[in-house]
Amino acid sequence: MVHVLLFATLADLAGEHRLQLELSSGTTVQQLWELLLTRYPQLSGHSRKLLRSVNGSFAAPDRQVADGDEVAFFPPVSGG
Amino acid sequence: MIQLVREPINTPSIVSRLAHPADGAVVLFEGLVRNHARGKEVLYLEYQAYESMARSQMEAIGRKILETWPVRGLAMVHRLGRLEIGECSVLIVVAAAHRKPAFEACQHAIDTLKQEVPIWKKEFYSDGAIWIEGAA
Repeated sequence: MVHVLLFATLADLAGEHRLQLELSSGTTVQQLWELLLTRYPQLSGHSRKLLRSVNGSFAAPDRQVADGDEVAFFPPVSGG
Repeated sequence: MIQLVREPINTPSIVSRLAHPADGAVVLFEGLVRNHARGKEVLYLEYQAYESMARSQMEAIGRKILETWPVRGLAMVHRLGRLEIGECSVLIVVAAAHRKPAFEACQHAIDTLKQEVPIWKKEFYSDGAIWIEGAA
């Protein structure tokens, strides 16, 4: 089971902030995002400026996701 | 001192907790909620964070600063939730023996926070609200 978090616009558009998914082994962060797009096509406009993290550290799209990981997708940050 | 808080940031209290007789300089930066943005009047803001990652990113920025500049004390506090116009959203305090590294470290802290810490702001106007995206 992989824990997926969405923030800011992405959470509002999906109507979900947190979900759990069963993934086949070797699934990458990018493949997980594409899976989310099939479920929430309204997120597709955000693919270009997307940021990703795995277990609290920024992650590249080709990073493989392991069982129990927390994977987050979010737009460029705007705190401060 | 790294904190994410939901109550108002008490700057004098944080500055006095950081104070030490070895310091010759304290530089502080307060980010405030402004009443206008993008040509529109802003009524209030809401900040959301990926809290566990935001905290670890802020701690990493803090460690980097203490390794890079001869500064002794550092506080980074960001407020979350709804903030009214004029309230403080973020506070950086740097205490050091001398002013130059304190100014530089303070500027680095706020600039890096705004690029690398997963916190987002939503601006509320009279006719709606939008999530603001930083420059990626």
